[in-house]
Amino acid sequence: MKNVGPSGQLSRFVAVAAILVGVGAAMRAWESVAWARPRLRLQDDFLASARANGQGLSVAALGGFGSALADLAWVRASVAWENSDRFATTKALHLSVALDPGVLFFWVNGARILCYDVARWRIEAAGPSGSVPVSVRARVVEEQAQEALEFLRRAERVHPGCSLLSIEAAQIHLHARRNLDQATDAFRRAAECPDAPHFVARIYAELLRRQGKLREAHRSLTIHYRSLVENGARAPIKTVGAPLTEGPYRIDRAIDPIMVDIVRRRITEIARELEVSDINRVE
Amino acid sequence: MSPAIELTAVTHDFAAGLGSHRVRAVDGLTLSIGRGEVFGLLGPNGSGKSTTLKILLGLLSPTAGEANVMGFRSGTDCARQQLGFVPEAPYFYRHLTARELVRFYARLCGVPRSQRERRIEAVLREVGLLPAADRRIATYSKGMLQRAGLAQAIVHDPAVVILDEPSAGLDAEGVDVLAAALRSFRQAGKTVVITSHLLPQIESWCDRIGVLKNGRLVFSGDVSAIVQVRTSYAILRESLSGEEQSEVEAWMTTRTRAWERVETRRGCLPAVYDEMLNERSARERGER
Amino acid sequence: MNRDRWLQCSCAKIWILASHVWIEGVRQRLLAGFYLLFLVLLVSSLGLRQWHFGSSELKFLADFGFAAISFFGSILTVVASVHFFFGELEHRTLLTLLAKPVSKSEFIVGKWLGVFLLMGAFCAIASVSLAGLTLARASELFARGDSALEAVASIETKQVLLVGLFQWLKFGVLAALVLLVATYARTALFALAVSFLLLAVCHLQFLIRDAYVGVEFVPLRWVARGCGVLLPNFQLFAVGEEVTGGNPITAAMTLHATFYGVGYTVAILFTAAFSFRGRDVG
Repeated sequence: MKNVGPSGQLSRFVAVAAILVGVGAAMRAWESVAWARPRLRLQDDFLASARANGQGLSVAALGGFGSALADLAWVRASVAWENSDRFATTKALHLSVALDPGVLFFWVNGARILCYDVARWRIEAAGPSGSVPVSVRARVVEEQAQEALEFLRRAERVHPGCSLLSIEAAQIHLHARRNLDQATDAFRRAAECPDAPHFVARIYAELLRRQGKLREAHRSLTIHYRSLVENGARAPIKTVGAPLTEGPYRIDRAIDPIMVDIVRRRITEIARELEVSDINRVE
Repeated sequence: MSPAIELTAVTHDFAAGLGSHRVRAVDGLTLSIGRGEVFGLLGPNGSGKSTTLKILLGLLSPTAGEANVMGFRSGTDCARQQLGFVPEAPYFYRHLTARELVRFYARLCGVPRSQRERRIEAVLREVGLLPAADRRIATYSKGMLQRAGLAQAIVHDPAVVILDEPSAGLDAEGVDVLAAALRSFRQAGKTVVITSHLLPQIESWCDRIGVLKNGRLVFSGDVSAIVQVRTSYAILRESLSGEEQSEVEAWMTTRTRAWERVETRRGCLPAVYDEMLNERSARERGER
Repeated sequence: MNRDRWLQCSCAKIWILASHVWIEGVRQRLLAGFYLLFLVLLVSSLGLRQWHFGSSELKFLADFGFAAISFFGSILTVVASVHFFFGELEHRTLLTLLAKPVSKSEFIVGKWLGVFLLMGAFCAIASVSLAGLTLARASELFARGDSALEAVASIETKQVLLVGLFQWLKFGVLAALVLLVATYARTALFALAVSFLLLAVCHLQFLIRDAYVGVEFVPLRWVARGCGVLLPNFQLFAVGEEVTGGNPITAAMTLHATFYGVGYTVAILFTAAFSFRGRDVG
């Protein structure tokens, strides 16, 4: 006799729930294997964003849509940027890094916007061209530079050891703040990163030279030259559809003979300035 | 040889709302339908006719008792293979044509590929749907839907055909098609079970009937035998004056005491309706 | 095939039911409608080129595309599963169908397979469209020559198709879950509401588990544990961000996810069939 009443339905429901629990328990072991890598990314994003601005829960909750929403926020920032809307731009770019802190593009370009574009808008808002006192301009530029540097420090918590962020910070010190000391230090830190582009070492050496630190410049460039020669000069790899091999961001680290030659000539120039005549030691 | 349909003390209870309250739709029904019979299942609304059919079709399981179709337990694939079902108010997939619909059911019932198209063509011709076979069912009238229902029910040549209120909503022509189909089922030796509220149709179509009330079988028997018991004779005359009526009554009384009454029999709409249609058709033929 | 063998052949009947669902889905333009929505979103993302994002534009395209596949695909899966189940109930075609030698289990599995095939077509067409678009745009960017800091590395076609495969696996589990809900639900609206709720919970299941498994309030802890065990983890299939983040999907990941998806689908379908067998459809 079949029990079709409410008690029958309840027992059916309980049986179904029991089966699902059994399946879930059986699949747990397999799930932990399949879940390992996606979990890592979500956890990183979660932790990073939680550290960054306390919105980690919402980031993780969005799951697969976080990236798309972050991109939309960036598009909004771009629209606001075109309209020179300082507040909307700043708000949107903070939102995009909160939603997807893993995208370096947002951090790097966001820092540039904060440092250069926002400074210009503030100066323009302060008065017609030429009428704004130099001290006011300098103060605005310094404030925006500091805001951008703070932005990059937040980025470094998410992307520790990323040379692009150090390069950007270095550029801000050099061009916005015109602080050669701090720019040199920033380029040094960038050059020490394992994924640093090769030109960073040349810039670092050049900044040392400008500060009159010729020996240091020569030494650092020589070390760099030796590493280029050891790794071997090879043709650049630039093909559409090539798999991503350099981590989450793209850096041109292809070495070609022309670059090696440039570095050698630079070393020669510095050596001449140092009155070092033995080129063979370098070679 | 087992009967076509055998119900033994079948009971079915429906749960009604929360708690343990139940509604007994079928109560200890015992019924046997022989092979090749046309059986009418009658009863007022809520008497358990539809529930009984659903038990036979395997759509419901009996709470108690046993139901068998052609010797197989109802609800099994073997039993369903023997059954064809024409539902009440048939509704079919609107996005299919009649041919596609019948083909779909033919495939599900295992009609062999080599015979399938021939069989589809044959049943569609039998129910008069061949001209419209490649039109979408969404464009069909109610009568055409009923024919599609007949076609899908018999495409796999079942031994038993069950029709639930088959003439509901049909026009006279549709009823004629249905009657013709039932005749061909009978000729083919199929067992037919019909439920209907239209007693004249049941009388003309069925060999035996069963009457349900409150889920119980209150009567089961041969139609002609039942009707014969109640048969009376009538002499019909187009007109009868009062004086003539008195003379007839006096004469009847002298011949026998077992006469009932003299009454005026009104014309009936079905007969007048048929006459109207026949006259119109004749006029149209004359005009042409 | 003789009648007796036919009676045994569930696979053939399931295939017939599935192909019936496919035909209905195609003729009712369900598939076409959702693909059109997806295409509109994808084409509108071409407007991004006005901002000259460089090669990051490819990431944007891929992100939008993957999100669209997930979003529209999830909606289509839920709506289609509910429609193909409740359509039969509401129009009473289920009675005619189950009066044939078709069991309720075959009915459930056949419906699921039909929806799964429809979703496979959607994922295939959508991911091929997305791969084609990103490849075309990458070629344009490459020819233009981009910023000195970035080599143009396109989103690999194979990776895009793999993301489509992962989503298809997810939709298979989701369709089975929706059918399980439908076997209990009395109305299509209820089934839809509960299904969408389950979709959200399955996406957040890992968060509930991680956030609440250590709380002191014991009932909440058990609810969190229950969620983690009772429901599949859909986040596992959301690998689009892995690809755009520069971490390609590996063969091992694909195998693990496939096993997880297939395992859960089979289990939930079995449960749905068991549940439906106990339901009176008269």
